[in-house]
Amino acid sequence: MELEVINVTKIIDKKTILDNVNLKLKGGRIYGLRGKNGAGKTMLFRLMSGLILPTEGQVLIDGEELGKEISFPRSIGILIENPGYIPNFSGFKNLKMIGNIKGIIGDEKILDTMELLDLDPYSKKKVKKYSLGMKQKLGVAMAVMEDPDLILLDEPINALDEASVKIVHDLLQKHKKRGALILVASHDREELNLLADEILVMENGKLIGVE
Amino acid sequence: MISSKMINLLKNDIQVTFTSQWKKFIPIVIIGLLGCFQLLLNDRSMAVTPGFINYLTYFFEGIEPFIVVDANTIFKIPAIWLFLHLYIFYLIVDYPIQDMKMIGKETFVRVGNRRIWWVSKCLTTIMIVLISYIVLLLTVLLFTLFSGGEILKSVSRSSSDLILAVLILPFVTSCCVGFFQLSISLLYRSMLSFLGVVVVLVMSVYFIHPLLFGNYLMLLRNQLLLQGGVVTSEGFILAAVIGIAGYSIGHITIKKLNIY
Repeated sequence: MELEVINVTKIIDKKTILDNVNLKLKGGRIYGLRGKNGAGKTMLFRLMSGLILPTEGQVLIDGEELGKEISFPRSIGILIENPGYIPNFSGFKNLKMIGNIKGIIGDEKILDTMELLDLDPYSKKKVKKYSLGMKQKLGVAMAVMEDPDLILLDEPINALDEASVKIVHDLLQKHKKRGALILVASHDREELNLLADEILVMENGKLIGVE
Repeated sequence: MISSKMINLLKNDIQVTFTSQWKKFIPIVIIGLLGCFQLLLNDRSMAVTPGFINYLTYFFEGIEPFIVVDANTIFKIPAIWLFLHLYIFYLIVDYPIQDMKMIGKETFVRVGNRRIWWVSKCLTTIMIVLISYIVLLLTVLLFTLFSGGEILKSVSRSSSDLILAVLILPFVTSCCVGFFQLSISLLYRSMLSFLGVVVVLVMSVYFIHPLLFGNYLMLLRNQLLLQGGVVTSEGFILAAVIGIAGYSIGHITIKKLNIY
């Protein structure tokens, strides 16, 4: 798995959101993306996931250009901003619906992923009644349950307690070991120091350094 | 692979519509009951109780052309007709927007192809219109049964023309205008596309014109009942033009659309 961002600029309503970003990332590693609010982290994630297209430049996933050769990366899991759910469905039913689209995983895999994240897959509780932390974990489950090659997580430990943070970190290490390319955006330096192999720093839409 | 993902998306839409969004069809039942009661009360003076066809026709008859006779002429809006069609158009535009808010991003990246999403939403539009019509038909059928009206008369040749004008043309028109509404929602805002429909429907009440699609949703404006009225076949052509334009605009727009 290789992700390459080449000279990417994104302009929305005459405002430069991403400014000539260049990146080359490889599978089997966890990359942190650090920056203040409004630095462009979420927009870069949207761009890497194919949800938005660059004004200039290219995003290549294993050599295929997003928006030209492929609309979206072939194997991807995302948690971008607030995770989306069908509020009247249970956690399991939400994951099952999402899983049904590709049809590559069965109920077993969903149950396992939920249990790994300490979510009760047999609970009938509707997602609208979930706590913020539970919703966040369900969002992580949604992103990783299909064992995608590319995992993009935007502030994944928001609203999580210490125990849950450890669960998420352990889960991501497991996915790293199987070769996934994982990108975690956060404004929290400590979190990224604990988790990431390499930290990319963003400011005002520009990539200003690697730690 | 592409078609299997589209089928899976459609299955999801059907599941969400029936299990999570079903309450949104309750207003159709209410409009149906209101219309039936209105006709029943209006026709009390008649010797025969209205039957299924009478009730059904009532929802799609609209109003006769507006003609200014003198300064005291009042512009009347056929409320039940307008509410019914506006609500169906609201449902059409509401679901994809709700879907986007709920699991839109997660769905898009898994579908892998933007155009599959667009085609599936067009199919969902047809499904929503179909469910709305079935809910209305069932409401009217049950009301007819409880009020002691006649359910079905034998269908003659002229009746089949009537069914074409009363049910099939409005159904096709709603679907096609729905595609157009969705494509405008992608480009601008769903509220804008809905307001556009409101304006055209109100204008259709005011003006009888073959390019105002609201006229094809009103039986009383059809050539079958009104000399110089709109022609059913022309209604199908207009619907096809609107539908193809809407589908094509959406098909092009979705390719470059920024999804937030």
